[in-house]
Amino acid sequence: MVVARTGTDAASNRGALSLFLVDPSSDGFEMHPIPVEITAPEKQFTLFFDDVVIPATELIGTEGEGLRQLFSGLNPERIMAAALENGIGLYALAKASAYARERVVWDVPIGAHQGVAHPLAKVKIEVELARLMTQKAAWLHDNGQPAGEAANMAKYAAAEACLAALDQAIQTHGGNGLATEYGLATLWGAARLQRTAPVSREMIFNHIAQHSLGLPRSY
Amino acid sequence: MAQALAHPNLGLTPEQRGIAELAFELGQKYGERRFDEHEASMAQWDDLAASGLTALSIPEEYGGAGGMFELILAAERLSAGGFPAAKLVIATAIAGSILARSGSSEQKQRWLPGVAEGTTKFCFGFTEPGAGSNARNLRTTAAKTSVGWQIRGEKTYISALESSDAMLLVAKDASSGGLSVFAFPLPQEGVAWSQVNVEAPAFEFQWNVFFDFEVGDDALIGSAGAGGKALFDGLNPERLIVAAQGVGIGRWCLERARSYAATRVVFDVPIGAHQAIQHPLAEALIGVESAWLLLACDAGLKAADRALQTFGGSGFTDETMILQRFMYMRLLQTIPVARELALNHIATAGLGLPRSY
Repeated sequence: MVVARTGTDAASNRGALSLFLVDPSSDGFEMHPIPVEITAPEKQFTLFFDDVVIPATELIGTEGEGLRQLFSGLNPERIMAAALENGIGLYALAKASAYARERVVWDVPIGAHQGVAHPLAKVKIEVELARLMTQKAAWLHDNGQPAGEAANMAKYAAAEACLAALDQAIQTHGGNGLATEYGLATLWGAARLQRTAPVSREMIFNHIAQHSLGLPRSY
Repeated sequence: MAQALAHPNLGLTPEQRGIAELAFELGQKYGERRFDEHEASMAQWDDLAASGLTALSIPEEYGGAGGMFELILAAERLSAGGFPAAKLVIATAIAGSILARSGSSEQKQRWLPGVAEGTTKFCFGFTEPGAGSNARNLRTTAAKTSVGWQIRGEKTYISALESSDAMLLVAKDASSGGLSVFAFPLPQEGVAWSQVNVEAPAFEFQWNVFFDFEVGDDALIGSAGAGGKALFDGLNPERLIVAAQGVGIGRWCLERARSYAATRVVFDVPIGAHQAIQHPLAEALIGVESAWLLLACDAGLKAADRALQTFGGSGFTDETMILQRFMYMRLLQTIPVARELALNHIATAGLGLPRSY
């Protein structure tokens, strides 16, 4: 699915966008991989369109209404990203708790120390709060109610909780937390990316400031 | 030089300023290379040796120059330039300090000139699977024989075995239960190894090492079972060099972030004009500039994280190299000593609070 500019909106003087379905085998279409420093199942690409011709039937919806049409996908995207992040958070907590129960140093399990246990308890709370907000956003979306605020909040909270949980799990494991064998640090890059993509936390703050708090637009 | 990168240079002698500038240039020279590109580390080490920086903190009579302050200064400037010299931590700071303070005159004469020249590169056999934070839980033993010591055991997370000429090994003295420190050349028969795969970009490979071999009496540093003090003669400098790396990498990250924020235009203004971008960078700068030791690594990590955020998605590509620096700073929260252990020490030694473990 490609978002392309098809004109200029007379009222706002901004680009009018349209959505199209493009077959990647089309003439004039090229994709170049972007080497990325994170481990993730999906790769990243730069796309080049050199006079790619597609049938008119491949226009999705109405010409010039692309941005509005996109919005119907953005909330689900935030909610799905939040769900993925919550899953990572739970996974990290499960691994950290198991290790903290079993790893004995100076004659007690390391989980008996507050310096290990309290940070894990804190991120547990944060992950559960993010899960609640994610469920709320999904419910609002499914029930045809405005879900933008909840979806943005869920995305932000889940990303922060996920990263904090993974980081604390790595810290709980000591040096082992960085070893490939323990399946934690491998997720780091993908988790950290969630603060930036698909929407940065700063843009979420902008949205909440404007739409939830009624503050003036800052950009 | 951009403000974020500038060392305060307060009260430095002309020689120290010369060291600072030279080290900064050698950091810049490799600043576009990946942290895990070993050819870059080795080439930089050759440059350091040729310029005399590997001699810092080694006693003069063995070809050394300057003290620990100069070594720390060089470590920070190399990192601020763009490429930390990892071998300064173990091959210079740890090995040099332990040998200089606790070695016999024969041992000092045998090893220190090579350490100063950068031609004898030591690695450090200390950590074990059951002895990370609790170093005294070592299982590797050294038992007296007719010609020296039989050493048996297993170490893990030993850095740089692949590029080292010698090893400093810490073992438990079989008769007294105290620590013994040994220095011997590599390769060594009776020493085997397998690789530890690590998910952070490290300058050197990491190894599990298995020992069952004999060394002569001349390999023992100081007295058997009394190696604890010698050990910390090396570990304290190690913390300082790593902290210096943290500050230097923090400064490098901030300069990159500053430059990007000043030029990347989104919604018609440079992103750096927005408070959400510039305030966290300002806070990170304050942290880096006022950093001490433990907080140096915290400050460096914070700076690296804000730089990563400033770069948006491009921060994750290998083109900008930001994530590499961030991952390395994250590593420093755990190694060489866990943050929590450092806090324990400060709470007890600094605040007089009861030991919690």
